[in-house]
Amino acid sequence: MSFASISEKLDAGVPLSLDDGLALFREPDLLKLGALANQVRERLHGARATFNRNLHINPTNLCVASCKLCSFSRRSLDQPGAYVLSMAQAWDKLKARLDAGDRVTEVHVVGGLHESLPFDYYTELLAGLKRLQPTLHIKAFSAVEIFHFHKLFRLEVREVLQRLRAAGLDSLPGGGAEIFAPRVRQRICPNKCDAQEWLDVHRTAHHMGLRSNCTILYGTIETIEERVEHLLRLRALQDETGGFQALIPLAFHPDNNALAHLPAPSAIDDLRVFALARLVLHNIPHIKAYWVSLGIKTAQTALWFGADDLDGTVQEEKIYHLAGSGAPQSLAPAEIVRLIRAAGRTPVERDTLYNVVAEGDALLAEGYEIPVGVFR
Amino acid sequence: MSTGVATAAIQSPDLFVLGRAAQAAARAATGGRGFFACNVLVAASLPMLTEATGRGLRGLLRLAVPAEESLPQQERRLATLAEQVREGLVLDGVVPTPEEDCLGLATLLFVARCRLALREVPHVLVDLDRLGPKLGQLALGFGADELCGSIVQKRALRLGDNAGSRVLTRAEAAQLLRGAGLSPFERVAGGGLEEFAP
Repeated sequence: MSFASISEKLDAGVPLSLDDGLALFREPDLLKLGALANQVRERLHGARATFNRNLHINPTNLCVASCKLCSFSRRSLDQPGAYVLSMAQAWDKLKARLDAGDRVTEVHVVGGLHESLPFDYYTELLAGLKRLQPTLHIKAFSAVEIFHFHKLFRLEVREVLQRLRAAGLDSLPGGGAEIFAPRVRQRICPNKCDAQEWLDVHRTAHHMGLRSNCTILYGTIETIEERVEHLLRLRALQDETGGFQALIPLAFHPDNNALAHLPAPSAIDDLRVFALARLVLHNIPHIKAYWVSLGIKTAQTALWFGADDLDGTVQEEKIYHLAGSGAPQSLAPAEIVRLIRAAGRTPVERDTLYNVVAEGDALLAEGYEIPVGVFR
Repeated sequence: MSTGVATAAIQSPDLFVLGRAAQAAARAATGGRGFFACNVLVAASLPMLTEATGRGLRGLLRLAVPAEESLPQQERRLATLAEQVREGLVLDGVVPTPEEDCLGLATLLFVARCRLALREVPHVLVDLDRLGPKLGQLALGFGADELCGSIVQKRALRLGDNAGSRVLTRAEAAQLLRGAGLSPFERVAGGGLEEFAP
């Protein structure tokens, strides 16, 4: 499969095949691949690059899964760093932001698979966040956590989602997909739900009218075939439901976990995954460069290699920082705007559902300055 | 590559035009080889450079990449240095070094412009301590051809206090070069080059 014929398929709107994806992954010229992905990215989004004002809350790191790729989880409370947030502690994180005048629009809640916290803990957690800020969008609990609730509380997945939704859940994050290939899953996260179960949770959520994101974790032991197959399975579900908003490629970080002997993926690998994702996933609108995972500099560069979103202000991210992320704990909106403008892109603040919150003069009005020497 | 083509690429508003031109110029200059060195001395100023080369050391000059420098300012700075090299300044390589708040893309673009504007200078180096391995490797696709910084024989696992260490082993440095499509060569004592076998 030649590069030219793949380019023609893209122009004609023909979905790329597994062989096309493999050919693109094997393309040695990263800039050639990037330029192609950038064409598609600009066709979809022009120069716009979005971000939001969000807050991460990780209620607990106690987890029964023991995934080798994870630096965040602890098995028991007597282990160093193990914790379970009380309701007040979790709510105070949001309250502190609101009291400081921060117009946070989203709370992202993910945590470990706790073996005994009651279901009320999770519903009350969400309800309390909503009480603090009724307009807040709560994006909470990966499909892996939803499946864990299903098993632990003996409730159908739909019932779990309905109860959480009644408590305030608005959408699902995309975590836990890792790599769908059973060979890889068995070795890096054998106790998590399997690929079909992960996809079924999202399918159920989509059928209930909930939107969600999806992810791919790259850089452990997967092959490029397994990467492309993973993307194609996401694309197939999106064809069926249309419920995914964004793909977030997540770079593996090897610090402080059982895979510490593996090297972190290189930046060339990072950008290759972003470009490929943009080209293969024609039906998923957004590709998100999660700066905590990529590092700020690579995330900024990814805005030219298929990505159109930088995630958000974040604040107090734990999962990637324990795995060695050198990125800061949070970015101010002005810093994200500067990052985007310096990349020659047009910053747009969005909400979780990608509705525009502020752009153009509305961003300028808040005192953002355009750096000198902006490229393009 | 003619001067006109290089100038057009430097001034291009398209990231990919500039990057590919710089990459082609680097490949032409080095024959697809990439280099790394465990210990290098980099002069921070022209007087230091002159003193170093006067003592027989390799002539390497650090070039700051300010966050807020316009393209015309950058072009003038590089054109002045190119003129000094043509007039006899001994310079084997430049080391673009981003200032504190300089972002990733600005660094990559400056690397590419160095390659295209300083065609009499054989090497554009990446300081891994300043750029980190990720941006450093990307720079190899934008005209850089050599890695320097904290490159060691053996490094402890990135656990506990060593988590987040930026130190690379020689094998990892070579892997970064290979990943960028370059054949790795190590600079050894006496100014020699040795191909680094996997």
